[in-house]
Amino acid sequence: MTAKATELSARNLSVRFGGVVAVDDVSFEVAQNEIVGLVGPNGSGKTTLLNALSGVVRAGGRLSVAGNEITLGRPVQPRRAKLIRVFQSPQLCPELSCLDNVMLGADDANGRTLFAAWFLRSRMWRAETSRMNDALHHLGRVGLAGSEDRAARELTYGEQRLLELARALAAGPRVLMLDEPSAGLNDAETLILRDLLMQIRQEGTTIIVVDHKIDFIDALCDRVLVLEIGRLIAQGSPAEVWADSRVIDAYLGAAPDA
Amino acid sequence: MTTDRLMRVASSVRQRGQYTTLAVVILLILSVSQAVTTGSSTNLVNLWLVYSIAALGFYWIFALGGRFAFSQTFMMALGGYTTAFFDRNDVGFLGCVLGAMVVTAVAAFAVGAVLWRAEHFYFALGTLAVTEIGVVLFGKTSTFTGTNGNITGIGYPVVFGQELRTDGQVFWLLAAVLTLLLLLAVWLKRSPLTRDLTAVREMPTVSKTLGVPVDALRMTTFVAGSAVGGLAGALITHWQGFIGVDSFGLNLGIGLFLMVILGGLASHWGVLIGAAFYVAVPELLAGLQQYMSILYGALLLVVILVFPSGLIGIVDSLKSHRVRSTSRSVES
Repeated sequence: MTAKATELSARNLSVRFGGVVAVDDVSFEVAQNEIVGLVGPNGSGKTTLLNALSGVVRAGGRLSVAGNEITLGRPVQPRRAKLIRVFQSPQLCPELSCLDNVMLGADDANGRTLFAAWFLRSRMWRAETSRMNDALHHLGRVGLAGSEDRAARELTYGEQRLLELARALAAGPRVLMLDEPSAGLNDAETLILRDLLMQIRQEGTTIIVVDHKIDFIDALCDRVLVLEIGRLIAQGSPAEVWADSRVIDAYLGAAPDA
Repeated sequence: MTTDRLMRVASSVRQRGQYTTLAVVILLILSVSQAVTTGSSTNLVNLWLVYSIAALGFYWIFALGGRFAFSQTFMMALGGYTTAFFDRNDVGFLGCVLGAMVVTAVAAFAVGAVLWRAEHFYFALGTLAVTEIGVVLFGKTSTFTGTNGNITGIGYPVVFGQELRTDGQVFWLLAAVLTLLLLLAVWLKRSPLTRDLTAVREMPTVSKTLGVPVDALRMTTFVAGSAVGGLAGALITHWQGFIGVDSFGLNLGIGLFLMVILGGLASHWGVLIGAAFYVAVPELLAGLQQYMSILYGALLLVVILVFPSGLIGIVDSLKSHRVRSTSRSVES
């Protein structure tokens, strides 16, 4: 078996809010097509770590995707590197239709300028039609076919999560980062989501997923990273990680006589 | 799903009724021009048109770009003084107006660059400071703005070799310019920019992670809207043959804000209604001169409280009422 190339490499990532260290010197690598779970108790810094990777908070350290260095703290750069994020609580435009929300994330930026709107309208229409068809395809993939003309605010919480996933897929992600994607989904929907993520991985996308459903993480992930109070305390296969005493202590608390 | 159905779903293309509305607006403007006969009424209609132009520019900055800019009156004044400057240097009318728009656009770009990181109230305050500095400078720099900021004897508008001397003649120029700008507004509404700008206003940080060029779009709407403000200032200057710095003070800045709010933020058509309200109400209440401020303020309150989506909201309410009545009659 040949070793897969490194798709994402984070070195010495740190995030500080005043005197609080939310992410503390975290380093890890994710191989191409790998699915990596990021777990830890509440407040352990999982979402902040994703915020650092997606550039929405200032962070120290180094990050590279497919060997290309990315400047931290600037959302535009991870986006260009196809490091695409799905947020913990749905970040959608509630009044826009589902189709519009997915089209917002489209990879193709052609015809999205004032100049095109006024002077290159035929080119703009061609690009827009292509974006519409692409968005429709991704809505179908996440099980929202038929909802394209519904306003995002009309969807249930779980559907909004799926809509955000469709928007992320429309960006053609190289690395897809999902923050608690199964929240708000029932067991059957969670299984469908797991199958969908497996399929997305087979198509060549690397996935980092934060979640609290241990069964979901076990069934989905090749490897799991465990955070506690901003520090990476363990990593390995799901079986290795759950057997690690530091992880047990982090979740259940250390026994007083241990 | 058929392409036709798709076309109705995406905001960029579902606004097909916009062209019908534009045709109705043109007919309305023409009807108004035929209805008014006295000189003072024509003057008011022209004021309505030119304020609609300035307010449309402000609408792009405020309602679409999501930034409150006090600088719109500064841009109008800059447009006016620039066109007066070119006029004194024997540049033709069209060159004067285009030059005014270019200078205003460059100034807006500079202001936008200086206030690049300013958000919300800080951007509003920054543009207010620019306006205040501008007003003082316009009043002091006599080579560009005339003594005490007043320049007289500016040439009338000339279109296709025809000098437009009367209010009635200038009406056609203003109506044509406003129609062209409304067409541009319709094209803007029927484009992906409407969707992108919604995201910029509602979730700017997330928009950056989606690849929406937040800063560029804000700058674009600010520059385009300001250039339209400069155009309005240039047109007023040629129409009246005079420019004075007092005409572009803070009162007009607040007035433009009222026009957009009164008309309604949801649609660019609202600026026409807001500007009409702003121009007509003081005239209609002129007989109650001593109570005018109170009555005007009360009317504003009523409109804002009863129609928070602006006067255009009345039109929308009537439309939905008609749809409901039609569906009830179909069901029965």
